[in-house]
Amino acid sequence: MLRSTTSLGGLETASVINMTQKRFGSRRKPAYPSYPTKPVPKTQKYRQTKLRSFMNQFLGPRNFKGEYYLNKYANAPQNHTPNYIKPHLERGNSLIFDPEVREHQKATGIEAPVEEKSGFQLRRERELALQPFPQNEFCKTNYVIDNRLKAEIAQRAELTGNFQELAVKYGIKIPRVEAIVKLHQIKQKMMQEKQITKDMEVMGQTMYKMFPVYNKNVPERVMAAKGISPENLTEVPINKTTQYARFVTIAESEPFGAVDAAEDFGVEAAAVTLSKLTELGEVAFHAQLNKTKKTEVAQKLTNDSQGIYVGEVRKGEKHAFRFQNATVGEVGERYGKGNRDNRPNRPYGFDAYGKRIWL
Amino acid sequence: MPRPAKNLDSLVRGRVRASMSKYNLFNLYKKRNPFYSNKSQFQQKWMSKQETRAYHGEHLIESRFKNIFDSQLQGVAQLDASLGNAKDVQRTPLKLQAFAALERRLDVALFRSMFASSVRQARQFILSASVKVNDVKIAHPSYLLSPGDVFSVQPDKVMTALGRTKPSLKKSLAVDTTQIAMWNSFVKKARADPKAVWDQQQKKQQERKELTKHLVDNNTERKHDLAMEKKLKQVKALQKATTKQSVLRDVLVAAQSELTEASFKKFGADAEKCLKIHEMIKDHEIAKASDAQEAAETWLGQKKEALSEAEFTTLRKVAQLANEVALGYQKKLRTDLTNESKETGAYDPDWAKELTMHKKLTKEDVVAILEDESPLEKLKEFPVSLHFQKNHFGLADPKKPFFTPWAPRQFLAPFAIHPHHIEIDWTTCHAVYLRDPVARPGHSEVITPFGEDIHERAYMYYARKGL
Repeated sequence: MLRSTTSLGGLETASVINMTQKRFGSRRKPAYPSYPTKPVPKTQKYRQTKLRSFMNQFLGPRNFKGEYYLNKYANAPQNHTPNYIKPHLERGNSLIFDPEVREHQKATGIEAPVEEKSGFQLRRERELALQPFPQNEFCKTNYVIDNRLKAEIAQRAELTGNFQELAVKYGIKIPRVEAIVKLHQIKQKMMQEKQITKDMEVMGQTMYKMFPVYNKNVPERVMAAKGISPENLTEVPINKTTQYARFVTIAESEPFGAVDAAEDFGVEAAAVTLSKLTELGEVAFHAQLNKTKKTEVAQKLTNDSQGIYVGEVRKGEKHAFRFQNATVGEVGERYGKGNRDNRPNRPYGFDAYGKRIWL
Repeated sequence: MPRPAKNLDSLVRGRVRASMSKYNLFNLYKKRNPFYSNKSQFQQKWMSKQETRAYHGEHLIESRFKNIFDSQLQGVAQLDASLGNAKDVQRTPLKLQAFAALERRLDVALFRSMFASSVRQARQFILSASVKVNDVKIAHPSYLLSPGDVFSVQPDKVMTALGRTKPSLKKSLAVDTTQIAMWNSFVKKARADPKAVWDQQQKKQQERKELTKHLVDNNTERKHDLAMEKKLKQVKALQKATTKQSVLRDVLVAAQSELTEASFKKFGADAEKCLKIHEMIKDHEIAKASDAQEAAETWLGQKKEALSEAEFTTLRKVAQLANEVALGYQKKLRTDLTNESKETGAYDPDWAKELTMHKKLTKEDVVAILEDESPLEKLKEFPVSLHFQKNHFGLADPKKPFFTPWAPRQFLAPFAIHPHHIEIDWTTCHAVYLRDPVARPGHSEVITPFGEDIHERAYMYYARKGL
């Protein structure tokens, strides 16, 4: 292109013009489906764009209630098996059956041969069962914990209070065990206060049945066949220093092993990290890793609910006054200081009342 | 302020968004793999950044996002990997952590927990003060969650987000009118030709089964078999326990209160025989015994020598009758179980007689409801009660903001992804933020529709020096 612009011969000049014209044309291509589609019907009741028509092909017909009753993905599965899209495996055939083909069959009386899935297709379907997005093989849905197992965990936690033991026993990480217990307590409280309506129960059950379920009491072999395995309890955070290459000059004769590399990076041994994890608990350890000045202050403000007094509301008073301990110099503004601060991305945190404050 | 939402679900542009809408599902379904070979390096980075940012924090302006972006990617190593074959350990997709910093935001966490159907809706829930973190109302979508935080949303909001769209009164009445008309026509046909309609119904049921076979529990049949097996055991035990002694005992126990045929209902047609037994023994001493079981056993066990002839004749007759009742009851238990285990599809010629027509909902009724000053009150004058729809369509409780009785929204399934870093309880609409999402061998906890290649380029775009 560069050569053609420099030599302004007859034909070449023309090509330059062409290129220039192309440059200003829109290069954005419409996002057409990657699978074969049916042609857009010529006689349409309403004018439709091509893509709109393809979308209607994908969604299928609606019934009088407005439901897409033939689409494979329209309804929520209730068998603990997720129903994620597989456009490439089914070649864009998103309907349970094609209504046009079915009608033609009824009219002619000729039954179309039932397409049997090949071994490859079945295997791929099994592999992709827990993968929500076709392009991202590393994204997998988590499983839900069996309801009875949750109750069992909560009961044992109440008896022993040893989350680490429970984590090892059930193959679930400590924070998740803690969360299960917390949520169980919240549920019990809400049930006592009769805050759980029938609709809420139905929703809870519907969502529960949409995900694969993990139960320690079911043999591991059966769980593994469904792609479910216990959580790995030996995970330690990757040390940031090890993510980059570092070059060290050493003598050829000098021995250099993993321990030396760790020393060089200033990294502690994995055993030490693991013992810290078990002593501190994963949440605290994680918090320690992510600690920055900004979050530290916010954390302090959020946790520090002590030293706040709420005044008594007397008859006829509209508001409750709140008094907070403060240290001179740490609060308020210097006399005469301008209150205009329009710095971009000014740091902020939250106080114990959920109010946003500048840091 | 969020970035202005302009034609987010454009089919031409085909961007994938953090939303559960059907348009977004179609855009996701037709998404092509990225094509890099005709692009310069910067074009590749720019395109990847455009694609990924359309999904991750689309509602944030670019400068805001750049401030949040963290170039440090979080991953974990598994210590037990060193015990096995090192070759088996999968690669850690660290680059998929490029947008992990966003997952700490409250609005994103709400969407990940499926308490909202899009990140923008989650934002609205937060701003309308419907969200609490550790029991404190938080009205800021940018609130950063810390590990261990419990957050919750008002259940009505969640049910609106995950439920079917609540129909307008007009739409609901239109559906009701159709349902009633269809039902009445069905009843009319069934009465005219019950056999043909029965067969048609069976065929329809088969078709319906075909439509939903990928959604229902495969174990239903097995569960049914197990239940029947359990019942069979119970019946067998009951049959074994039914003897002439037990029948006499039952008669004695029943005689303690006023006797009618209904007292021996469980014996069916043999109730009369039970009454006869009672007639025969009511003047004997046995009728006054306190322990019925023991009295029945000893009385029937008496020997001929110890009794007068009249007494022995009574005893023989009672024993015979009790035996007949016991055998009859055993047979009845067996037939009941067989009838129950038989398929319910058996044709009954009288089935159509039980069907009743529903009162029609005319056009005038609909107009009267819609034009009334308080239409919801007026609606109560026209109740709908079909066996498959007990109330007005979607308006069982018209005051609720969601479809009642609650039903899941359509196209929820492809977007229902349970996150690894949040533990959720949908019944209570509470969740616990466990940790910031991490990458581990063969898995990344950040939920994203894009692959590692596109994330790598987007990361390169944001992690460049001087940004």
